[in-house]
Amino acid sequence: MKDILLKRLLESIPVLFLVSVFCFAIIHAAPGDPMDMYIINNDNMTEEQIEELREDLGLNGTVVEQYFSWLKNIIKGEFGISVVNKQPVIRLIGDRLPNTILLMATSMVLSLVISIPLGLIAGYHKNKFIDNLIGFTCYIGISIPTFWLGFMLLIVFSLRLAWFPSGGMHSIGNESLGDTLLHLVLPSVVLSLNNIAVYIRYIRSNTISQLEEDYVLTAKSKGDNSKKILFYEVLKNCLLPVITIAGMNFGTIVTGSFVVESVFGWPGMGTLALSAIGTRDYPLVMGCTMLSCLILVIGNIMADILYGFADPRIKQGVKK
Amino acid sequence: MKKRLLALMLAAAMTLSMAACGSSTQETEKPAEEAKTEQPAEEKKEESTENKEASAEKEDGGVFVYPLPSDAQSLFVYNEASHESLTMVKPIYDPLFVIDKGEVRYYLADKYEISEDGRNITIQLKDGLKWHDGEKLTAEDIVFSFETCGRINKSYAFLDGEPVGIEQVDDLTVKLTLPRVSASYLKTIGGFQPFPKHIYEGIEEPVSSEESMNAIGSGPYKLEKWTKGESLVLTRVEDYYRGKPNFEKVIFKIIPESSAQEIAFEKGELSVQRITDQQKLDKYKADDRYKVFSFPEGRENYLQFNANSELTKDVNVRKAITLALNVEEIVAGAFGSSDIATIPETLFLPNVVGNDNSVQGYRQDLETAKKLVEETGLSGKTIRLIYNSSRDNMESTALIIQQQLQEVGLNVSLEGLETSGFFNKFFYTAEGDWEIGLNGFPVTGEPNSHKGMFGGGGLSQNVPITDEVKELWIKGDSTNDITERTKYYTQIQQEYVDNYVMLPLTSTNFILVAQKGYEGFDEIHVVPAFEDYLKLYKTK
Repeated sequence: MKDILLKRLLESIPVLFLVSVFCFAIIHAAPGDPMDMYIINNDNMTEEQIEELREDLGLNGTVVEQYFSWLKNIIKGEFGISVVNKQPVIRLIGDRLPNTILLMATSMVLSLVISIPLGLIAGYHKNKFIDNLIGFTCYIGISIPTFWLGFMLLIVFSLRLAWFPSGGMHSIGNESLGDTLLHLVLPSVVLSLNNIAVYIRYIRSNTISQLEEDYVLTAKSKGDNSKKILFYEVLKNCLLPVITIAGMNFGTIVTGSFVVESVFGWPGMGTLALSAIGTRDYPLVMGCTMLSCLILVIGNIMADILYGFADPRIKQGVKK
Repeated sequence: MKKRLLALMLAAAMTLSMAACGSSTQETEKPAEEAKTEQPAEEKKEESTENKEASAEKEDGGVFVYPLPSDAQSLFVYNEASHESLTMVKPIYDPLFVIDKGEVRYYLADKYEISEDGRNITIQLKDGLKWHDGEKLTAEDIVFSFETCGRINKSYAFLDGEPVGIEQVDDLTVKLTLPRVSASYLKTIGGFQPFPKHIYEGIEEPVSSEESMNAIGSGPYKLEKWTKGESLVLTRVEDYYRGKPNFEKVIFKIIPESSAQEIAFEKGELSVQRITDQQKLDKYKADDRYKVFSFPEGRENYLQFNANSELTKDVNVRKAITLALNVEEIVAGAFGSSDIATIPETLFLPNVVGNDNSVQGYRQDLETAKKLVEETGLSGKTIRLIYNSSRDNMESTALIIQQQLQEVGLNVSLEGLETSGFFNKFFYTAEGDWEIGLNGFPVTGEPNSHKGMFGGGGLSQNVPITDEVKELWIKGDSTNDITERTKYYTQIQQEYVDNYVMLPLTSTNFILVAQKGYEGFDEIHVVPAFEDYLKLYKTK
């Protein structure tokens, strides 16, 4: 297992490097200069002061020079100072990251908890009414725009029924766990709906193929009941693709949360990154991007680890 | 079997572990434009009788919740100057005084005096002022704050790039020495919001300092809790020097999406919300659960020609485009009605000092426009129009302009840029790669505040004006005589009209919808909202 982990970690280095290069290049290709925002708020800066500040912020020289200056600092663990608000990037991200992780993790748990039984049931009842109903719901889940769904849920469950708050993470003056969970419901439902639909489709198709395997027939002949076969035998063999997709979805959950955070006013990385993009705050944009990429890489590594547990052949293969 | 069960448990644990990470009196005076000496504010307290009557219906306490689309990045009073930041720090830090629409409203200052030669301003503070932490607020704090502003390049400490001198006369008095006479500087220094020396002394970067997070100020509300990206909770200063504020708490709630703001408002989670379109305005006007407050925002949107473009260098090209446009149609199409925005005649809005409203703007003249298009060889050419896509109604304005110019044979290519990209092209580069730009700016009532963008200041390199006009801008600010100023500023407006420098499009209104019972928003029409939080209250 250590070998897998080490291999995956080494493989992630070039991934992170390439992502940083592309990201840096794209940000610099866009029109606008971060110094503009700085100068407009410091209206009496002389040319010398502007040049000095450019130097301090690492904005002097060519894009390549700027990139390597940024990279050097990253290796030293310094993510730089936000150009717009002069706060350390790491502090700004640190303030928001736990909120995004909470939303992301809840969404992931919700996606798995809902999709696994529904996928198994749909596969077991192939082409019957229940399968068709779940399939139809999945198509809706896949095709429904997140932005629209967010507002619909707000209108129905917050404005009309008043079951949930309209946004934010806490009610003012109330930071209890119950209050946070109440605020978490709608954004995490929106964030997980698409994933649930995708996972169900994968689990369903795997369940159908697994039910045709000999071990299911053997279990049936031994008198095991259908429920036991489905949830103990078939489920284990359906897990592999789910783990793969869940690992890959780590990244999409982070980017998906940009929209959801904006709709629900969730104080996470998404709203921070969007404002950083709007103000050409290079260090902050790069910090947010690299972090999203890192989460994606971590998700994939965790998926690899879980693979080993779900299918011992993988671990044994590595040992050999 | 055990290992497989473990795999399942680990998958669940992975997500769960991540979850774990995880009312008082308002002291007012007459304008200060020509005055050499102002009288102490103490003499102006008689207006409180009326307030006392009204206060019988005012609720003592309660919460005022105001939504904003984004958060401030620091609670230091001089952080980045976004509308949101200015709004959020306003109730925490009081200014010295405010000059607005011909009156002076005193806050920390008790009075000011201008010397005979107009180059010295002496400001006396009220006695007994305190910071939120109980320390005394004195002239020493004013000098320290002013000098710190000089160090971090804020405009208070400079005039035309030259430093303004400051000295402490006694515990309550400071004296400022200007490098030249400046009529506009009084308004500028009046708006100065000092910060405490005992907190910020020795701190190199006050904006990013830990101290700025505690936001020790002098205003009617002090910091209770700031949850970044979510809310800023302020609580009233019970012994505030101008009287106890009505609301116990003021809360700024961050809600990025305007539709989500609307839902929160209708659910009663917000006290007010700002609206910018006709449909919503009509909806709330017709609903007696809400009350609509509307007043001029003091923001002018305009079309500017680029002096560095080969095409729009030619005044006849600028004239052709200007006369081809029907501003009434643009405003009706993009904004809705005069409830949302009105049409200004010239560069200066009617409330700007020195505007005697004698200069006439433009009217559409399609025949002349078509003739000029032919004469200048513009026909069939493409005009490049840039606009800030982050601003309300700019895109629809650009689309209508595109349609109108097509009628005189001009093709217009539209380029919407987000704020930073737009500013970069519009203000900071002079490459002549656009012909028309759509922009907006806040109008403070002081004409000299337009100089930076229009009159030869750092942001006006693309504005088609002559050196003579730049000189007029300096002359207009270099005298305290209002008649002289009006003369210069009238000349400036006429020059801009005659040379087709820019086309004023709209003067927008600031429209607030409040839950019924929330009052006081129409007492002082200053944006960002609200100048004086003591004016806001809820009826019983």
